[in-house]
Amino acid sequence: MNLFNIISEIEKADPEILDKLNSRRDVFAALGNMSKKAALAAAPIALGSVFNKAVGQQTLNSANAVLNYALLLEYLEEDFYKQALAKTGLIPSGAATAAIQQIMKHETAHVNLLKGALSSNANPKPKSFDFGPAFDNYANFLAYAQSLEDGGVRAYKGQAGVIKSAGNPNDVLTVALQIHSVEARHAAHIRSMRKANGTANNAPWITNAEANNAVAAIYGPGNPTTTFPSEENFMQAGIDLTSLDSSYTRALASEAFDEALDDTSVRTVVGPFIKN
Amino acid sequence: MSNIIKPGEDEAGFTKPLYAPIKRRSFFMYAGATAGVTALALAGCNDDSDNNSPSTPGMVDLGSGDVGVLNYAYALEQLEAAFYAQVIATPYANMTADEKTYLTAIAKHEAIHRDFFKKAIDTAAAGKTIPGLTPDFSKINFTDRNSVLTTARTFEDLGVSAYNGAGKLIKDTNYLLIAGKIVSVEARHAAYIRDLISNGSFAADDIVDANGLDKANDVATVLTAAQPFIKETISGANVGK
Repeated sequence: MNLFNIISEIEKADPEILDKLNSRRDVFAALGNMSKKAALAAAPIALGSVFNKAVGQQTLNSANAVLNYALLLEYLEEDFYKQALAKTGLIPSGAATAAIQQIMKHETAHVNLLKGALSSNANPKPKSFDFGPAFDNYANFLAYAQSLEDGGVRAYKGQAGVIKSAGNPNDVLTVALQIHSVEARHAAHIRSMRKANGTANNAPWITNAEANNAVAAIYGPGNPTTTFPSEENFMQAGIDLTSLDSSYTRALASEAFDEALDDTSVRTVVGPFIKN
Repeated sequence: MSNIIKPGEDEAGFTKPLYAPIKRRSFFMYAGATAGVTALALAGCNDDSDNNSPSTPGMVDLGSGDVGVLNYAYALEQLEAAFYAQVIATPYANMTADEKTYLTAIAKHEAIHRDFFKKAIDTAAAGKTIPGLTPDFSKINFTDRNSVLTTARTFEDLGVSAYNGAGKLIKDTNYLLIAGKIVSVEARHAAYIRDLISNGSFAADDIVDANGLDKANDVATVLTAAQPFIKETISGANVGK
């Protein structure tokens, strides 16, 4: 990968990109840091997340915009599991396959629910999705699945306030919350599957901003960081959770609260998967 | 507060329309429109003029407005925290090392939630924080794995449904975000506990419906389910109003 060329290309598209970042060195520092943490498979996504810091933020301002954003994520998740299940031998038969089928059933239901809600305003499904090396082996599949589910939880959470501010037409907020907690259930189970598979010793919940070889950007900060801190955050509503009791470590405090993510940060991560 | 209503009594009363579970058909039909329900979501008096010191012994009123919602969450988190503290203090027979580790973590998460809400309400609305509640776990056999885990499942699924149902009642989007940050952790707990009971039941058809939706329960429904585990009588009649 020629990083100079990539940065140069981005500069052509956005001449101010390097002004938005602190310096060219920051880009390389961030990339170097990420390559240690992120799975090699996730490199293209990790690259995007470096630049995302400069431009990411909330862009949606109506309930329909939020629903279409949710629909895109659900199209993506559904397609991801469909491709995975279609690949013979990728997912072990028995409990693992049954779990993934159950999860895909929900993603399909979410697609249909959101399409129905948006009716003629529903955006079409992208032509195809390319998940790169996600289906090369079971470990990769689980790492990507965890990224998508944990990321989905952050994505929905990030839009609750937008829906509220848009007047919560027809109580779309409650539906979004009902999907949001299902994605969290999926995430918890996928995380347990990774633990059972011996590829990641992670709990059903997120400790600090540990990606354990899933996509690191999913656990990192969004923009602005005050609203969308990384998953390692232990300050809530101005309260330092670790100050409430001496046994409340930063790790436990970070686990007790999941963080939200702005839509631009989410799109930066999932954008490379979408082929139009 | 003079008009304390016992949980259940307001089921058929004036609170019903506001708290009624989402009408899926209207969601399908009108999600494109932006008028109408807005007024409902924003209805209700703005602040919290009530007083949470029980006027009847053994009664606790959660209060109104956002403080009512915060007290509602605080009550549920108190219940969960007390439950898991007992689970860890008197582990059931043959608790595995992994189970011990994760149930201990869950106990801490719930205790953090509990202490967070107390501090947040004390800060935002001094004097309106409900008192510490007295749990009644007499029907739980803490030495029996099945008794403990099925109760945990009840609490976690109930907690998820409570936050999902209360989201629309919250006026301040900062509190809404906080509730969102907590509910997904409760859902992770629920999934884990369900998998302990029966692997693969993390989001089974008994809890996630044909539209792929988790449950969203109104305040009265949640309090009716939680009441047998709490000695004080909780009134949530004005939560969110």
